Amino acid sequence: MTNQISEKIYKKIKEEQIKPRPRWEFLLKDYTVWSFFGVSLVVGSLAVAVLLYMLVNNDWDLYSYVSGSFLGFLFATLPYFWLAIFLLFIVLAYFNLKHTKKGYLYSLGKIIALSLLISFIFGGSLYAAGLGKTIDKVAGGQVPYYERMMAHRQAVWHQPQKGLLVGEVSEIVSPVRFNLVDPGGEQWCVECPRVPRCPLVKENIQTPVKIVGEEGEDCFQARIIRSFRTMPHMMGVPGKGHCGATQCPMRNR
Amino acid sequence: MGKTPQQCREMRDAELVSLSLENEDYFLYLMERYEKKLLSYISKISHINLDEAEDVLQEVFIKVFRNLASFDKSLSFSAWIYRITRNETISHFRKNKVYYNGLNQEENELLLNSLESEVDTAQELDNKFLEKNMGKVLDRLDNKYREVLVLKYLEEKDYKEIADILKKPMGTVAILLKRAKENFYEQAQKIKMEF
Repeated sequence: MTNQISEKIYKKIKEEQIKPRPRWEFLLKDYTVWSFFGVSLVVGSLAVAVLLYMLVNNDWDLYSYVSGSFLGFLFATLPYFWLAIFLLFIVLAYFNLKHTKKGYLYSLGKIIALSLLISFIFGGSLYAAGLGKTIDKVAGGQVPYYERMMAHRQAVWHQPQKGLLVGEVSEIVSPVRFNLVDPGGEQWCVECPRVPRCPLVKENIQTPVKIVGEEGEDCFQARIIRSFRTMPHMMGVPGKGHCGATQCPMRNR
Repeated sequence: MGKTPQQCREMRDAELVSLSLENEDYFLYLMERYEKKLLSYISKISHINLDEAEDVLQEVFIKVFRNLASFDKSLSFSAWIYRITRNETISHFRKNKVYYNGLNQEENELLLNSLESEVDTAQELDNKFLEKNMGKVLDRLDNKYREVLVLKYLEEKDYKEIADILKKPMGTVAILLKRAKENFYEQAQKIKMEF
């Protein structure tokens, strides 16, 4: 019996002219898997850049006005869309690396840690280069689900009964008073005598803002005014007002 | 073929792989080198008769030859061909849902001796009893435990080779082996109590 099989297979290879598959086929497969791994990391890094941009500009100091607790604020304002994209591409990076020739040698923990490290290094660099903001703006006009996410974010900050108001400045009435159109299209009169920092100038017309304050008898009394990053068409009615005053103590970030 | 049969038999696997890619005659020496070992390995990890084992091995050799250009020289050829054999054996028997039936007497003793030297708990068991019931004990083990025991103690592969054959990280192989030994003695104790 010894070596009978070897002889048999040798004859078969000769007779049927069986040839080894060319090396380029395997190389192509390897490069494809590595490319997918690279693309996954790049997309993950882009998601990190936007995540960082959104988290840095999340107005953490105002958490107590929005939610009873810091955790409540965190969960209400986390950019879930980008978080989901980031996690999805980390998982894809893991599966791609696992399918490289020696991917099996690395444990799940090692691959995830490596992917996170690379994503945060590149994502952090992209954020520092200002790409986070750019992607956020571009995605705002292109990605359907993104609008829903922004609408949720808008709803978190638009609770007039809790002293939170968002909208676009439609008219500057006086240095301490302006009109605002909220996402529902409702007109609001806002007074801001206690708000430090100025001036509010003509260019502030149509600027989306978020305001912390309280409802007064005639006007909403603002205590804090910050710019509100959102998509222009998310606001109910675009500001059509004219500029009645050129100065207002309004804080712009 | 520019080399004598004697020269070919003395060559390293990787050299024969390179030559086989240019001339299939050299592949015969690679096959001869692994034929017995792989036949034995197939029978250890599967419920199989000799004819079936030979069929599986033929598939293995053809597959290895077709994919020879994908062999990564940073791996050992032995680990690579064992991996292909394992995968081919599993896929051959998956449809029958049969994977393992037992070792022969010689293999039983070899496995028992190897395990005894490594695990203290072995002393708590009656060796004669174990020798007689080795098949039963192994039969109760999970495939993943059984195959790692076979690779380590019967095929005498090191951790790196086992990792390459099973396509698992070395740390996972170490844990798997530890659990396999624990599981082995657990099952042996249970069987003893059943008597």
